Amino acid sequence: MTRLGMGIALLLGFLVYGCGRSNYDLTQTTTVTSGDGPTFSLRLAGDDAGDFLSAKLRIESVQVTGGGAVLANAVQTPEVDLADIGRAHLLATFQAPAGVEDVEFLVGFAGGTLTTSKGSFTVDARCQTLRLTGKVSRITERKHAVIHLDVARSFVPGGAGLTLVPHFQLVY
Amino acid sequence: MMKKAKIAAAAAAVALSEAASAHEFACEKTIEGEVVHVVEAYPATLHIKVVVTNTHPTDASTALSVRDDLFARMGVKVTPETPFTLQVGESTELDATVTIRSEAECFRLSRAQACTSSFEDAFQVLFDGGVAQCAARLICMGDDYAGGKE
Repeated sequence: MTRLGMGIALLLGFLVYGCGRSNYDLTQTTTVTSGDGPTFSLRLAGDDAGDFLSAKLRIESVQVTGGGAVLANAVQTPEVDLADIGRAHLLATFQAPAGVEDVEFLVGFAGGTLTTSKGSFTVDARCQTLRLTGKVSRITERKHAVIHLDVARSFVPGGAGLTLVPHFQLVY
Repeated sequence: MMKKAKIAAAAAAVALSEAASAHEFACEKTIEGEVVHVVEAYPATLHIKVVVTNTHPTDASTALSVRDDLFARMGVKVTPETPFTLQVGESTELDATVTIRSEAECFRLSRAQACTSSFEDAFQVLFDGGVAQCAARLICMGDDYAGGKE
């Protein structure tokens, strides 16, 4: 009876562990390729906060790929406040393999909360992914690429909260 | 004399390289004049407008390429063709009309972005100094939608 109880407990434990893993956790197991060249960073900053006093977004996933390899696949900063103008939050560090000209950045959001003087608004951004390409030759000049999200233009009232419609610039 | 010529050539090269990297763009995208547009009935013919502006304060800017995954999926050709150059303060307008034939097609486009009932229509201008993106969002309503919320 005790053995049976332990068996059931173990089985339940495995099931609970398995069910609790998100898709993001699964992608964490992807092999990340690193080279011996310089290390670059990908950062996210807010531009023009408009009426927003805070603009907190939760980062769900960050992936950098290039030359058919995954160069980074981890969340360095789980939450960013994009109304904190002048601060560029670290999203990922990566190395580009020799000969790779372009890298692809994918940044996924889980959601967030923005506040104005009139109140607080939730953002449903679960299916939002920033998808953009960076030139390695330009990233090499300053060792970074920074996504400047235009906060005032990117959050549009809709439904019960705000809709994320990303307007941004990637600068090197 | 030779030294002066070399210095002049180097200075010109620096000036040219700085000028070559001096490109800045901004863009605006709307669907039926809105940044967030709700499709309430099908088939829906949608007028999509993109305005690309050279925002560099002193120099012309050259767009090397543009990227619009929705246009690509629906076979819409973007004009003017890249590369194109805009003078200081100059804008160009890109217009396209797409038809979403059914509720099923709208939801299929949503699911392609891992969304349930809406999808993003992003437009990117790629230039030497980076990328500028503007976007609009389409919300798909069911055929039985009667003016309520999603």
